[in-house]
Amino acid sequence: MVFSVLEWRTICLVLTIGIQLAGCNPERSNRHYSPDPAVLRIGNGTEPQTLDPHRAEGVPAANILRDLYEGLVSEAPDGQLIPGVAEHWDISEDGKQYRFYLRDNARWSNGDKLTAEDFVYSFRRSIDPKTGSSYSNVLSCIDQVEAIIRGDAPLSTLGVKALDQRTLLIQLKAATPYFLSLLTHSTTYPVHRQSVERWSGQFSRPGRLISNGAYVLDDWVIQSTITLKKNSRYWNADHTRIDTVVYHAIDDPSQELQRYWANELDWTASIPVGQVEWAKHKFGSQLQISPYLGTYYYALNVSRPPFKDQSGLRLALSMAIDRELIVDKITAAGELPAYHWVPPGVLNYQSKSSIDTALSPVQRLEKAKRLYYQAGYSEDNPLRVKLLYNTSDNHKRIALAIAAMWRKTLGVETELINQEWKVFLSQRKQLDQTQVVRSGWIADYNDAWSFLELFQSDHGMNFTGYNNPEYDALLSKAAIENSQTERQRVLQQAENLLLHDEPVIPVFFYVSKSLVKPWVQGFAANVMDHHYSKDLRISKAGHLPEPE
Amino acid sequence: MLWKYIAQRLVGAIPTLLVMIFIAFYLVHSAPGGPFDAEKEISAEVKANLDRLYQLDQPLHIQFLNYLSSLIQGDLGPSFRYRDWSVNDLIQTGFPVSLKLGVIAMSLAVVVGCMLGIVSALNRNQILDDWIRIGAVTGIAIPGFVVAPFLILFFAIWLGWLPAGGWQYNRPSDMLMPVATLALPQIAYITKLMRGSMIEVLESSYIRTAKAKGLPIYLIVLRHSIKPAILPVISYLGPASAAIITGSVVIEQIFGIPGMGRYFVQGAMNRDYTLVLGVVVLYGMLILLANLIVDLIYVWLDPKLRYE
Repeated sequence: MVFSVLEWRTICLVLTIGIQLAGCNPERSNRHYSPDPAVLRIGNGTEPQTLDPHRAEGVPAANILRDLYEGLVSEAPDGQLIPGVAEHWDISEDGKQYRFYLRDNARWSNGDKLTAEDFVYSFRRSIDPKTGSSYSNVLSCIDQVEAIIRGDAPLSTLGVKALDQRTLLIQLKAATPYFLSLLTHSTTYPVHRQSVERWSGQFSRPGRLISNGAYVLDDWVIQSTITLKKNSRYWNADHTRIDTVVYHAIDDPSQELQRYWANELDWTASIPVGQVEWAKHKFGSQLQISPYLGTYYYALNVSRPPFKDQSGLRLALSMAIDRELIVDKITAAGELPAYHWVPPGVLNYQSKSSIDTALSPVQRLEKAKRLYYQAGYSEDNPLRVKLLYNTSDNHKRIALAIAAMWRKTLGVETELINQEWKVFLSQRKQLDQTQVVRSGWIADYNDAWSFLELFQSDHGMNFTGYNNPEYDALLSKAAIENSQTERQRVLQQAENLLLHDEPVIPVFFYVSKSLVKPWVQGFAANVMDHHYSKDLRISKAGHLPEPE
Repeated sequence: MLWKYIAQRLVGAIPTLLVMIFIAFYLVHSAPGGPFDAEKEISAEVKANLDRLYQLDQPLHIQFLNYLSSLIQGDLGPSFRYRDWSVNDLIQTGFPVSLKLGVIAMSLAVVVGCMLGIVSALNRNQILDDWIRIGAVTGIAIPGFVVAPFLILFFAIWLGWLPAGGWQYNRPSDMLMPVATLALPQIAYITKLMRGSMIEVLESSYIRTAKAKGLPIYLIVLRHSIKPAILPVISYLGPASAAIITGSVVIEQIFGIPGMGRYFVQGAMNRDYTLVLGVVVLYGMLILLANLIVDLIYVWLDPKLRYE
């Protein structure tokens, strides 16, 4: 076939949009649409693998889990940390000991009392290698977690203890400034011990799942919808205004857009590539774009030629990329060009380094050429690189643009290799084969550490082969640093070193993009793109804009 | 005679099914990447635990034998992707949806296709016949993934009559567009087949005799022509059921219908080995069964054939 199914569908969508823009705009039904104030319908991307908070992965599952469960700490609509199950907490002077005081009225959805013991059980389960959690590593700031994961210490030694029914003590290895924000992650949510044990792991199904958040699981049709109902036993249930939340599993953004357009969804998870301008024109203020803690980057394999011991060459490739052009013309949704690694908006951190932004664009290209020649390459002897990316229209366009920039400025010959997602995932680890690999990183929690830890020599996500003892030492130092200012300084040093060594080419910082109907009230943008249905309401007064 | 024939065919289907499972098993396992490869790398300890839990640490031939032995007991195994569900659970919810979609589409295709074919044959080379033939060629030529977005734009977005996708409340309105899209190419094929064979039958000598006897045309068609003319359509039903099944893979994706087709596509992309195999086993059995049923109907309709 000349076009793939996906491409055909994109063509069809573009055609239909073309017809729409050409002036045929009946949309009779839309003008009279009146929302149901009790039901919120959310487009939620791919089907979650599970609603077990300790085994779930990915953004779609996390969105639903935030409604079903509540951790010790929660978030306000703007992203500020607020008390969750814990009413308040004390932090010891050295920052290593957290004492959480649980609410007296915190209950499970079946009426059982939620106790500190439940949290001890849940933390242990989350870390236990038998559970198979892919996020257990993010808890490694808690005392003994690493030893338990390695199998060197029993679960009972974990630094989480119940002092009484309502008091929980968490002992950390070192002061960890992001620890409270980590407690909003699903891997720290409590699970109901009796139901987990009764259903031997397969407990997150309708009729079995007992949760402690503002909503309970009502129905789950795989590959279709997950329906949540208001939890009347939630401690703050009086403030939950929406009775039913329906999460629709729609992996194709074009289909999602059609259903939003037909008033079948109140909120979309994304916007199809290349449709942002059109969506702006069509839906006006319903389009929500806001900064998001994530970096789109190219990883350079520094463990083998041509990039081994060639930091000048790596820098040349980075400097030859016109990032403004990419964010203006290709991604075109307000992304920020990335001249450093840690995105802006991270708490308690300001990037100090940048890839020569002091130079003018022309000077930058000249410097890139100079570095390229110094590395031993020229027009007659061009660098040949293989750029690996996972099959997607968006990644392809960016890769084509970057390859063209490299070619135009330096004469680099780039071979583009695209692979299906799972093939790509296994291929990117093969350091004896890769050269340039497309990657993206979204923060698990709001801290610079979430970005900088990636390039530690032994980190599982380090696909560059970067192994600099000095960098590792700086991160180890930051990990045990109690003073916030000093910690920031050490992390800035590490980022500086990273950009000097250049195993990574940051391209742009992500934004979150979605469409939200005007009748959905209480929606606020935040850098983590975390939203809680309990904070939203549907107002009948919200009306659709007059059709053009 | 009939039961012996059915038993023979069913026994004969077992080796076919086994070969199919064998090929499918080795194909899904040979695809690069595994079910637990994700954006976020998991630690070696956790990976080892998962492999042990799902028996991925065993040699492939042992895994195959284990799979077969649980298959014989009717257990299709746990889903690798949807960790709270077994493949049996998933098929139990997905299969009725696809079956409903497929059966309605197939019935629609046979009824509408035969009717159009007969009308076309009776009006041979007249304007009505021309229009039906043009419609049939168009129906065959335009794929479902082109028809579907236009239907959605027209009926869901402009008119607001039908939902743009989903299968949420099992409403009949959820089914209209997917069924129409799925049935359209089959209606077109059956119309062409029926027209051709009807013309042939109408030209045969016994029909001429009936006409000479002064029998009205509707009686000639109903009593004497449909039965012989429908034979090519019946023999096409086997491939048609396969086409409906493969067609539903695309249609279910476009309309977001939680059926087997969507499981198959998602299962393949997620390397959900057991789910993909479960769908293959079920669809394999269905196609073998559909072919058997078609042969039985064929023999029933055509007295020249015998169970042999």
